[in-house]
Amino acid sequence: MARTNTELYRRYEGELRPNALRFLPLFLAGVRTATKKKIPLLVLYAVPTIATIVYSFVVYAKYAAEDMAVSIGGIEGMMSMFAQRAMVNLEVKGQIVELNHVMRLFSLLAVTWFGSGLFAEDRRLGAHLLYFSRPITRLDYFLGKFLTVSFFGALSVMVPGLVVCLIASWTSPDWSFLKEEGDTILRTILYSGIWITLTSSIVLCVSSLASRKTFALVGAFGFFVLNFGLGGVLSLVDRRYLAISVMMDMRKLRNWIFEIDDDWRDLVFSEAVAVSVIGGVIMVCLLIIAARLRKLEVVA
Amino acid sequence: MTDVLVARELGRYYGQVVGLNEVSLTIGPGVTGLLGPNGAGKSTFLKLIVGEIQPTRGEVAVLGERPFANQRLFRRLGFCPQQDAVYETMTGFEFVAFLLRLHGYGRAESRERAERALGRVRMTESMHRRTGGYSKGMRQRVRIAQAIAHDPELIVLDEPLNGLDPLGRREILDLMRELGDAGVHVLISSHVLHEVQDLTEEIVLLHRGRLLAQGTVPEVRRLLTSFPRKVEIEALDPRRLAGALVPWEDVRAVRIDQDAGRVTVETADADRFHRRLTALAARDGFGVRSLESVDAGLEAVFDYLVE
Repeated sequence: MARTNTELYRRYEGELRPNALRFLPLFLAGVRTATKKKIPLLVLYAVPTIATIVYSFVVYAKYAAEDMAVSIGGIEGMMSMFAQRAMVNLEVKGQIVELNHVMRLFSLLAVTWFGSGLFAEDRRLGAHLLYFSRPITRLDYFLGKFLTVSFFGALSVMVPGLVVCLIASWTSPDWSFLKEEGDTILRTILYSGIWITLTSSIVLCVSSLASRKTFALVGAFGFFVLNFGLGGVLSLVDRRYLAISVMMDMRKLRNWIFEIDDDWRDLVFSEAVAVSVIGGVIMVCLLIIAARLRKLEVVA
Repeated sequence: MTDVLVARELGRYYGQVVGLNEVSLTIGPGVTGLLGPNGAGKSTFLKLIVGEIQPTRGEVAVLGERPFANQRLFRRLGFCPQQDAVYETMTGFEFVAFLLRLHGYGRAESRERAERALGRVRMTESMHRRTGGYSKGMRQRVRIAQAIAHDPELIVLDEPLNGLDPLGRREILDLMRELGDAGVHVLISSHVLHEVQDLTEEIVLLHRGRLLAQGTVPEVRRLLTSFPRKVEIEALDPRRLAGALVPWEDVRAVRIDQDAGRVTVETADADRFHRRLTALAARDGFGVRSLESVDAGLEAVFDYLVE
């Protein structure tokens, strides 16, 4: 004979949150879990942190030196103020571009380290069984994981670029950086956003195919090395084949996004080709992830 | 009261491998044991119930709804998988609270419920330690805690007693019993038969992906008419007792152990045999001291079924 015991069994009377942002707890838990191990954080983010500080200081120093030149130059100095300021702004922009370009490699390390286990370990542990018996969809699950890995990528490449942009905006006289080169902020977000999306997609794709984090780590690095190598080898036949390498495509996109002249003449392919290759890789990765997530409980 | 689960010709194939084949059954309210050896299809059946996978053929309704990708139903289900499923860098408390957040509970409610659920599985003292340092049994308790934390109407547990010490097993079985008494439906799978027999008489037996039997253990045993029931009788004069039993038409075999003072009888009609034996002992003596059906238990029933 069944009986009720309200002390033991308490039906929830409140309002549960709507489904819209169900991926957020997954994202937050992913970040919290990953940040519990301090050594990888220290190793992976020491260089980006130092680089950000150094670049910020250099940018600050440039504007400080410009101010001093104006103040000691009298009227003549005042007349050349705008020309100097524009030149300094351009130099600062160049440094931000350089920082973005260099930091993407550290971002790749971070994304690979923190992203490799996200699907592979869930499947190995069977954690997906807990998720999918709860009111979250596979899209929520993917978004939660994608945001997690993108977050760690952004800490290496987008955040340093934006911090230096911020410093440049604050320290430039009369907000000249913001007025003249303000679009650098948006360009930084666009460039690093594409890079983070690309690397996150590749790493998550490999993770969805691998049975362990270690295999996914090797697989993800292997992809980038092989992709770069293949592009390099095939470019000996035809220089346009360099477009196979996503690294080269990103370089091409960097020149395009930041409107800079690259003195490296090997990039003979067009921006459209670079966009197509990067877009294609992202699309293929997302399709593989979708297929693997759809069958996650079967392949586990 | 409505059925908790209805399956019709339910099947699930993994390519050429048959996980579950044409299982049709109805499970009512209360605690039900899902039994079968390893590879019987128990986990596949449970995954179908909790909506993790779609059936290849047939259909299943849980609490009146189709489970696959049914978010409304998922709020009413609690699932404890067989796999480890626990993140080692999280504490038990964080893990359960995080899973509650996925249900849509707010931060404070999640924490309160996580604490209460972990208390129910006797994990209060260790809940703020990382699960990486937990024993297998403690991890199992955390998994059970996450399954009950949102107070579901149906709790589905896949081999929940694995890794638990005898005391832990007892505590978890008691908890399941309490939940059952409180009106929660519990479906618990195990390959350790006697543990489930302690918990419930209602069983579903799977073997090689097929439904072998369903009902209470005595009901199922009664259906196995091709296997005579074994009855052990301890008596002061076993030889004379055996002589009196041999002529009975339902008695198939009699074995005497004179030293132990025991007679083992195989009978085709256990109920009739018991009635007649009671009358015989009352009339003629024989010093009958005890009477026991030795193959009416779940273990024996299962052995007969898979033979």
